[in-house]
Amino acid sequence: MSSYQAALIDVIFSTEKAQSNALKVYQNNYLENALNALSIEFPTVKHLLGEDNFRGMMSQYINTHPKSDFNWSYFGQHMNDFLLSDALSDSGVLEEMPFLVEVASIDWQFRMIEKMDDVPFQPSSFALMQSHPPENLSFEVATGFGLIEAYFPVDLFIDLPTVSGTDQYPPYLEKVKKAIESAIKLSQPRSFVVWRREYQPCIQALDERQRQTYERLAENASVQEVLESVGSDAEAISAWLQNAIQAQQICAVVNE
Amino acid sequence: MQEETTALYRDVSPSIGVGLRHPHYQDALDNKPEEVDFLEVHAENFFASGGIIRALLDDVCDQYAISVHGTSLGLGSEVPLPERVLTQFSELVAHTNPMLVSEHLCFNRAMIDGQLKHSGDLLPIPYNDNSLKIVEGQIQRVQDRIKRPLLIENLSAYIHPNELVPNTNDHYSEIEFLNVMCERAGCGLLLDLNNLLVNAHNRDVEDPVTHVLDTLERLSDNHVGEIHLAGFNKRKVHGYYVDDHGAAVSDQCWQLYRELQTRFHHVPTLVEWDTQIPSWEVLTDQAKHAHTIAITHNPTECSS
Repeated sequence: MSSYQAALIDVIFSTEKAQSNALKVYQNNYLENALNALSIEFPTVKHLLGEDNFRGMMSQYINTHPKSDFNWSYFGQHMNDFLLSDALSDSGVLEEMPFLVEVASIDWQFRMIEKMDDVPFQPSSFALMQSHPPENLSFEVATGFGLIEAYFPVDLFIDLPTVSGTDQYPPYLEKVKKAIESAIKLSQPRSFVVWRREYQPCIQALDERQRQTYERLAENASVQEVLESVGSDAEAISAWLQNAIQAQQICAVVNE
Repeated sequence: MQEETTALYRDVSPSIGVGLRHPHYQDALDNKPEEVDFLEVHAENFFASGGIIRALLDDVCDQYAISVHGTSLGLGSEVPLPERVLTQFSELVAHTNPMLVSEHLCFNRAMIDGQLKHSGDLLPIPYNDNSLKIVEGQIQRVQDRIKRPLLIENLSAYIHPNELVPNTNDHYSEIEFLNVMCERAGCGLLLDLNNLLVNAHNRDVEDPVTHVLDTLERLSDNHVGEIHLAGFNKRKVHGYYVDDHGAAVSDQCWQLYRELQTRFHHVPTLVEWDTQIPSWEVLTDQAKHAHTIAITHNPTECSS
């Protein structure tokens, strides 16, 4: 390789240990920086695997998906492809933790939602519902609003690192284990809605009826269509609306 | 451009800053010590267009002057800086209106088999005419976009390019290169004293402080727009001291800072501590110490 720059980059990204100690310093810097970035991006995965197993698995990721983005914050963007590839087939980790792919996916989604543009919460705009026909209005959804599907209770998993170390951890873990047992019996994935409330990414499990409502929201349907999907009971509609506003899943009403 | 650059730095009041790192976000907002005049933020940590990080940055800007320090542009790279990244960087500068903007004299990426690989590290370049041409062009491109001069930081390096690819020779000493780079590109210098010390230690120089002072004799004073102070872990990695910013400012670094006050007492100074991060109190005590040195050794006050 004639270019010095290409030669040094090639050594740093090589899976073989460099001969010279100076080059080993650079290889080590790359590994440690990459592991640190992945720890930040995938806190729940790290919590579930433990420090040593996380390092081991992520070292494989680092070798198979060399950093190409300028920002370390996007280094984990290929994690799902990696977990679904043959790279881990011999490790048995996915047999032991079949939920790992879904957990990695929600970890990543939360990191992306954290960085997204702010959608301002405008509670006064809901007064439009008093003065305009609902078929002419639509809801503005929160930052990062979207529906995802997962077999496992990703809404419970995501809080494990936060609860860890507190008195609530043992009963919370028990709850997660029971939810995993139920999930294994599922023939269809469950639906969840994700969004950002102020600066905090959130997730909520949905039943079938709720899923239809949140699908209408995601499709930017009219207020009338969204509310009809909640049901015909005025009290139920009012309760849903109040919840959605309080949780800031919907941030404003706009006149089409 | 050269005269404008120098004048700009002279206008900046003597000030002391610390690096703002994640564990101190709330502390920095709740407890601003008098002796901390500015905070340095790593640009890439604040590229997000929304969310808590951007909100925090706005709050910090309300209380402190800001120095935006890039760590990923790799201005010595043969592979040009993508427009997307330059736009993110320049938007951050426009948003924060910082007192200083800086990057490093390094490269960080290359195309290997048609694929871009970005090391995320600060890698040394040879001090030759080809490097000078590349870095001059990239600095000017960034400066044109952000409409202000950049400060470029000298590097700690564990390898000389010649050790990897024979005949990758230097045409200049490090200091000569820095002088010429500043003159041609119209940028300033972020003089990192710790990096000079780490390099001296790794080259087994007998008296690192004297060696650095002697080396700096050849540096043009007018180029220096900021000083970095830091410490490093005394435990070697693969036989090298690593510039990990993982300790209090070393005694040798303080000694250098004191000795250089006669030349650079007006220059904004930053305490870096990026790994093994201490409490906010311990970090800001370091800034207070720098402040004391700057006041005690202020040649203007001594002569009056």
